[in-house]
Amino acid sequence: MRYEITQGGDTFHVEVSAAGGDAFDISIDNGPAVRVDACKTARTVYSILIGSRQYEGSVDAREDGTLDVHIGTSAFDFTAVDERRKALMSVAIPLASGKQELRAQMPGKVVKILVEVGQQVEMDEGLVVIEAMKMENELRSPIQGVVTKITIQEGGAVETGTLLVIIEPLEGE
Amino acid sequence: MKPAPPSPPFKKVLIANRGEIAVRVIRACRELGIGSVAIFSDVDRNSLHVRYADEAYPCGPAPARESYLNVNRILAIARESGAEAIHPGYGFLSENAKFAQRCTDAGVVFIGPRPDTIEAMGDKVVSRRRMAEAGVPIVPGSMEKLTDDAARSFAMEIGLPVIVKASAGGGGKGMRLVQEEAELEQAIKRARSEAGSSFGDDSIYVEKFVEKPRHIEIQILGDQHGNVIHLFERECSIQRRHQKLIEEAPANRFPPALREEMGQAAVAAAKAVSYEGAGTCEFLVDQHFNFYFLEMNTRIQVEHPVTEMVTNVDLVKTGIRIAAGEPIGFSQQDLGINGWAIECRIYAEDPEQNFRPSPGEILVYRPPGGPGVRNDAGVYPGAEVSVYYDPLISKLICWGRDRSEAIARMRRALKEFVVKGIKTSIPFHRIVMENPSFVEGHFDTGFIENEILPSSAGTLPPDEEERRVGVMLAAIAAYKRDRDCAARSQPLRSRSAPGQSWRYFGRRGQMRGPH
Repeated sequence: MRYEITQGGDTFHVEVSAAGGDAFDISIDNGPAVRVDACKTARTVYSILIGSRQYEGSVDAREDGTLDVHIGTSAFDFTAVDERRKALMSVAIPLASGKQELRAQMPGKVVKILVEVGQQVEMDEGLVVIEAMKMENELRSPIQGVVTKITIQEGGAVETGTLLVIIEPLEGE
Repeated sequence: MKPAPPSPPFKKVLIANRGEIAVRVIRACRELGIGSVAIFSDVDRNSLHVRYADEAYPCGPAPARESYLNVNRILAIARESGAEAIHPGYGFLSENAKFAQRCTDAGVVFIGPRPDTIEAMGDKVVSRRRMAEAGVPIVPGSMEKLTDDAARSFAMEIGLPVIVKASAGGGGKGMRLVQEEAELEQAIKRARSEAGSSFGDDSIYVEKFVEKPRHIEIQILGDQHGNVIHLFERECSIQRRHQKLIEEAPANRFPPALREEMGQAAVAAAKAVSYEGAGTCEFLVDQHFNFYFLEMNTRIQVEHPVTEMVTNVDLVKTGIRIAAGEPIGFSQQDLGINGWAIECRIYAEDPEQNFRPSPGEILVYRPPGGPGVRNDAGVYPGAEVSVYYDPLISKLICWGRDRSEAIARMRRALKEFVVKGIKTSIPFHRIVMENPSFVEGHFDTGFIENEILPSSAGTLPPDEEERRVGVMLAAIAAYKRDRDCAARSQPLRSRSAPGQSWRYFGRRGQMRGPH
């Protein structure tokens, strides 16, 4: 995973990969990867080993999503954004353009249909609730558009790949 | 055969307090073989002092005036439990002469000075007069309560700057500094109205303002047999808004002759009011080592441990034995100062947010340990810091052979100390322990306001190496967060909590957007 981490006006591009157990390989700004062993010693408190150098630190997520990080006697507020997600978000609308066919991802039962044919929907608006393995899953619209087709009924069974709903973008978009 | 332990001074003592000081008193009782009776308000059932006590009784709803200040209820508990004495700790009823009298009337020993001593020392104007008569130097100022007109002319007569003070005052309330004549009128008016609303007594007096003073106090012990001794000084100049934050014993830059002189003055002050038990004379010391009596605290002080660490005297146990009629048990000549002790008060306050109270559940609590470290705490992991009471959660005391060892040990202990879930003043103390003026021992009561608060936003200048490690930990946390999120965002949700995980994911997703 690649993250864009910002603190005090500075930005770091950080590549993280799990290396088993508590270990991670981390590279900052395309530098050499460093093995970091972050062993949780109490809720949100870590003993961090970088090579044989030991640091005590903690990380707590604030309500606004920023990370309140303490290392030794220093305290920092970090923002960590997944770079791929950021890239996806910036191109999300162009990517998900054109007619969208929503299909079931696993066998299940249609619990509820939240929209009607002809209804205009926003991006991320819930369309259908499918139950599988006693859990419910709300499928959402990938684009802003209008529901042009619903191929299922409430209470009906679906298989993997069954077409559920078709959404088409609004005219002129 | 074990030697027979000395017979305990009391069979059972009620501790009319909560938090760390209740724990401290209970520990003393246990060591003396005294049964301890705790009281707890509705929000304190699971407090540490309850767990350490032999017996515990509910004393009322959370607000202090309905529980820890509820005299009738507390005396009823004393009767019901069969406690022979009541230890008031500090705060709450500790300096309430009426409560001390009620205890005596109910046949329960009040562990502390006699009611008339508390009363005489509680009124600043009365105590100033008594001290002057006993030959104790007092801050130049009026010897009686003043009308507005008299206050005005008196202030001009002794010369500005002056402080207009509430006669019944304390804790910085009803106190106004006047630098210029134009401010005088307003200051008198405001001090009087604050005094009236805070203490129910609007009398005021005027004192000369001592410039750049240090706040140094002398610990004393007196018994019912007329013995009074002092246990040297404590340096308490590290204050914010008259709230002490760091204390030490002995005081730095303190000539031995001054120690002797102030010790004698404190003994004279205590003798003038026939003081019984542990008490403290507070003084201001100016830049020329002139000292002035400020007030006497007729109770155990928050900062008593620094004196205990350098004198090897247990002040709480001694106070209990004195209340039972025993003599102090040692003389002035038996006492000496061994090494240096510093105390940091750990408050549930956010130093980055102007010391705003930070109540809540303590999720992680890992106090420091090792040589020379003492932590007097009233909390534990999982404890709830409530909004109802003093936010002091612990007192970290470090002893060293000398001041520099004590500071090094305090830095080390503050580094070990981990508290999560609430904000504490630990980061603030780390800053002070690194401050050159503090380390050199050059400071006065203006230290925090002038030297610490303007120069930092409540954090140490970030260390570049620690920041790099911080970036790594943030990346690991983000990685784990997204992995957990991905697990949650499997296209499944629990039927029992419909929508919850989706809403959660939705919020998280938005949070990750660039700001």
